[in-house]
Amino acid sequence: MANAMQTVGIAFFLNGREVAANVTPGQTALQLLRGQFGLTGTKEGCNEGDCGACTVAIGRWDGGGREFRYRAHTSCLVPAARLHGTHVITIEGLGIPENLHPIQRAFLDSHATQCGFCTPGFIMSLFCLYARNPDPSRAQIGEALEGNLCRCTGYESIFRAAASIAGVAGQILPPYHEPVAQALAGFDRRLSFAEAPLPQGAEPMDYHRPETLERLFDLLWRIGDCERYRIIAGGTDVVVDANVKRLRFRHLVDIAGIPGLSEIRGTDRGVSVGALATLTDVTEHRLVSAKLPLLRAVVSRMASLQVRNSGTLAGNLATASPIGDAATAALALDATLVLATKMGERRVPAGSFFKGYRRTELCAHELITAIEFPEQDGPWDFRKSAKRGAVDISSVCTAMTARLDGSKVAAIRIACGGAAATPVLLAGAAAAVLGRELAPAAIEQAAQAAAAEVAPIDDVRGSRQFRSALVRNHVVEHLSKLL
Amino acid sequence: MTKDHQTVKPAIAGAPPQHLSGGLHVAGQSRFVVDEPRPAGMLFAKLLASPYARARIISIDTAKAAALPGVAAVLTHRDVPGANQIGHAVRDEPLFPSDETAFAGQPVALVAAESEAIAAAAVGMIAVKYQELEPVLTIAQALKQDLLYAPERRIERGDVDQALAKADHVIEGTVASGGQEHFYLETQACRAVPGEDNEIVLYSATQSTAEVQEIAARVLGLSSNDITVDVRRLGGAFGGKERAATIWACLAALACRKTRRPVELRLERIEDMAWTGKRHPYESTYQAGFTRDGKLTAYAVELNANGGAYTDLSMAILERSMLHADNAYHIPNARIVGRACRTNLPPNTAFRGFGAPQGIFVIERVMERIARTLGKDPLDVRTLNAYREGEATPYGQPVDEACHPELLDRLQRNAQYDRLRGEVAGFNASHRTLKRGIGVVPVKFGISFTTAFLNQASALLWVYTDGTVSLSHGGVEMGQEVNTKVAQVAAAELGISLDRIRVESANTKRVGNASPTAASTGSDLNGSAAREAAGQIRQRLAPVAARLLKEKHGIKVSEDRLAFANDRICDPRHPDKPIPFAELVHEAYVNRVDLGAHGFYATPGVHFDRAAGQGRPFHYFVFGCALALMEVDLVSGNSRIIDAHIVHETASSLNPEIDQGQIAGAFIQGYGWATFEEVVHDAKGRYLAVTPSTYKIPTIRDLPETFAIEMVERPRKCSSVFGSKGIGEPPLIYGEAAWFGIKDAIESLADHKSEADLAFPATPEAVVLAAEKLKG
Repeated sequence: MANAMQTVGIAFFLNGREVAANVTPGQTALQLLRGQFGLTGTKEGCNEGDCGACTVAIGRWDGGGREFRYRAHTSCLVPAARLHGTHVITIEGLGIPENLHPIQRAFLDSHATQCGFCTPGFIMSLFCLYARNPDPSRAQIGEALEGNLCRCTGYESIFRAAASIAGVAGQILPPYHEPVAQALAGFDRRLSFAEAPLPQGAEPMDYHRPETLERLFDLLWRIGDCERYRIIAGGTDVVVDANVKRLRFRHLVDIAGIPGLSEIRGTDRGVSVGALATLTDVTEHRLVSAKLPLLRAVVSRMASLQVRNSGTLAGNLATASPIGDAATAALALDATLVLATKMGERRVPAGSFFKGYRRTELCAHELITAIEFPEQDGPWDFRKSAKRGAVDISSVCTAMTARLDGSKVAAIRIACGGAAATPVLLAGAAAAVLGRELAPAAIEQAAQAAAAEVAPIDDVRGSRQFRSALVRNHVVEHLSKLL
Repeated sequence: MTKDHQTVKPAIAGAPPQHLSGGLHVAGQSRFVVDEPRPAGMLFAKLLASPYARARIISIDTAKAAALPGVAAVLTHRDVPGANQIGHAVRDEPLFPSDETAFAGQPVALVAAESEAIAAAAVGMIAVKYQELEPVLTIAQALKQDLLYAPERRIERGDVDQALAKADHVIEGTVASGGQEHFYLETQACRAVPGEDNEIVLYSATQSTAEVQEIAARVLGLSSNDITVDVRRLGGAFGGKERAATIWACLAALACRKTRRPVELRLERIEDMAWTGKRHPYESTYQAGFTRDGKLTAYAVELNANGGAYTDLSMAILERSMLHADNAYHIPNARIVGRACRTNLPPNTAFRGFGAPQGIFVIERVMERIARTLGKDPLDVRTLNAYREGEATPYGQPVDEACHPELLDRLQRNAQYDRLRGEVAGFNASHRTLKRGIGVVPVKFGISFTTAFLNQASALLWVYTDGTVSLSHGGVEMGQEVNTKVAQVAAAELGISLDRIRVESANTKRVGNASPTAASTGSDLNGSAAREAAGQIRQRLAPVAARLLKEKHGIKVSEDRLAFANDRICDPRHPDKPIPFAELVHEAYVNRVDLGAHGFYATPGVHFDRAAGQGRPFHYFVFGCALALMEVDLVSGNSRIIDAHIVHETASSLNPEIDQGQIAGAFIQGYGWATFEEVVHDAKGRYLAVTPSTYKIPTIRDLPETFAIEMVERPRKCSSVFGSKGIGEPPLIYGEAAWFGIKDAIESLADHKSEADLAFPATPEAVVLAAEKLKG
């Protein structure tokens, strides 16, 4: 039907009640909540996941059904269709002025709201923190709230409010939580698809949620042209492209329904991270902490908690930003990407994956299914330089892994993002110290080599000159750690 | 002193009241413009903006866009029924450009359609032919071409040239400071709703209800009484919705007038950041002469502001820069010159501080250089030069109740300054890549609009027969809690509890001709007007109360001795026999006593002669100072704030919790401006950091470990309603202490012998480059 568009029938729980909605493929959770459900407490501040005003709690069974977790998400980056089978809690679901939730009460008592626009987002971020951790540290409060911007308070009162929520462990989860969690334990309804008249001025868009890799590849085959689809793993890139750059895609292919892709598991050599594992999954997983401390350090400083709760490691590699932090980690850790098509799998070292500015080794209809990391076995270091210390895209980010033989450098990899069209390995710098005793002179030589072998980009995050200085400084610091 | 200056604190019992809308805010129930239920048939407007900073418009073809189904109107300069002119103080700004665009992002056409998606699609179908012209972007370019908004302004005292010639030491230099994006969380928005006849109601996110009303009427060819502007609250503004909200309201009004349907115009974040004006960047030069003790004897400064494409508020902002060029220091011989440059950037506009931060930054640089020249501690030089009681500013206003020597002393004690200096030196000696530094900035800030006639306000107060109160005033609530403070004042005057008062939206039908809510005057002006209104009611109620007391309790008391407190009225000698407020009000009503009052207030005694550069522009001054302990990572250039100490004289604060929130919020905003908030444009005048992924404002991680705010509460003669002082803007300037702290840290690399060439803001890039330069 030429003048028809697809709609997706979803069912989920919203503030304790089961609801159903027909959403359009390009619709965000924020639009759905504010529009169809009239829940205007959730605000649009930037529409790209950077301000946190639209933060909501999305609850679902985690870790193979072991635990029901609420995680903070910027609802502007969540496709509405993704709410299917979840429990969404918005600010309206916590309390009303006459009967405030303890977190809301703390904000009121600490005078932690001024204009009020950012307040619901802060409270929802704190709700997700306290739902799991009744006694967070100062650093954990910072981590939970660094993705929420406030322009009025200077955060002083907000921090006081956040730190004053104590002794209320049993009162954080709303009374409707338990029955909803139970109801969702057996939730296995499928999405339903229908057609509706295409609104004037709109372009048709289809949403697909294949449930096996085979069906995914069949679907991609049917779609054909790679320009006509975008794969959604976490959605944090695709939805920004749609919201801010107003890019339109004929087909959105959501791979969240494909089983097995979200797994993080041990392998003979190390750890394999599935394509759907979120950045938060990576930071929280015990295997990553134990075997890949560098990866954990890098991912912990990517984006905000809300975005890490959606975004995936595989997605960050696939988007191939010249300053992708995950790519820098993958290069330093000598990771291997598992790429799959209808024909089967192939393994590509991270060092061969990035081909040019936002170009990768991925062929038509090919998908990253996992990233395999060898276990770390030597000293490492990671440095990220960005304009703002917290939640910012790197100007330059570098990572080093090394192995020492006595005081000689037996092996070394130094990866660098932000200093070329793709993240690169600094081969010259590595060569300058490989097999040598480390001494200040050698370090200086390596730093010079590093500066000479990069061709930094020049943009709003830093001039070429500055980035060269950063690369040099980073290399000196990395190598000094080996002394 | 008039009655309004009496330093009696209002009798408000218990802890300071909470945010009047706090319960709604935390529950997500407070409504901003686009949260209100949509009126039936509402259209959505989107704009086509000029891609060029300066271009001739050769043709605009809207036919294809207009033909798209769902499009209700496509509007350009040809469709403006009244004057195509939205300038206010100076009429130099069109609603739509007709022949030449003046900045990248200037709206050239508007589409109103059934949905945002349709409107956006139609905007893409408008064909405009431009002939690109060479834009003027920098202050240097504008000065070279003599592109000024007005002839340069001057404030002079003494003989500067002679004093420079006689001085023991003379220094000179140039100082630049950067722009700043407002980043209010709620983007610019307006809903225009048609009424009967020619009426239009504008639900506008503006700080200036009367200006929007006046200019929308002008643009539509209507009268002011056809237009109603209504503002419940703003999601932050910081000056960015004072003048800069008018254009969006007028565009929505135009679309509404043309289609006779409700229209919503809301900017997306990226549009708001790319198209709207910012804090003025400044480039200034100075010469300063001082004695061998470090006393400043002569100061000649030229302050040059980048005004952007239209006059906007640039002249007033420049004026405030000039009136704050002295900051906290007595300068016997001064020559202050100001120029506002016309460029092809979006019209730069009001931003918290309104030019004062830029003017103050220059003389603070001078203080630091005097200290370096003489090998003294900058704090000592600042204290030495600080105003003493009775000394006058270069424009002739005495600095009454000057107290900086004392405040700086308190700051030193609070921060344990000498010990801290020692610790910093020790830290720097033992760290290779981390360096620490201390910055101190005192602030003297004049309160009043320097355009004297703006210092007026009205309030409208109704007492209903159940004893509750509806209070309207001219101020706009934008998070500064003007509503809480004004309600407190009215409650104190009537002796009733705050929960009896509902503060209404700012609405031009209830309070007309309101000055913008700006210049830190919102609570002073509107609180004073509300107090006046409440006083009238009290006076009318008093005879009724005296009669009731006699009838009910047999108490004879004269009207002027009645106590209004705790929702009751009594003879203070018989507090156990009161009349409840509600009962009194009802009795007054049945006795046909007027229970509505209009209060009016005009700040007494303020005047300024611009031509002479002399006068008494300010009702009073706000005093304070700040210290920042900074740590710089020389590897990345990142800095962090470890400790912040602030000493701020609040006089008799109406609400210390609100004032503390204003101080903390302004400080962090100023810290952002001084450190990593960087406004950059390309060679064609297009802003590059137009999303929060590229323009970074502080996060909760920027909160100092120690954030010590001492509010010096004491009665001051020079103050406003109930002895309080304005609070909104002055603490922003404390953020400059962070910049000086970073500079101090970098200079430890050369043992503080030479000065770091550090740019403002002190971004990581600026830090790394300055450090490399200093190391040689």
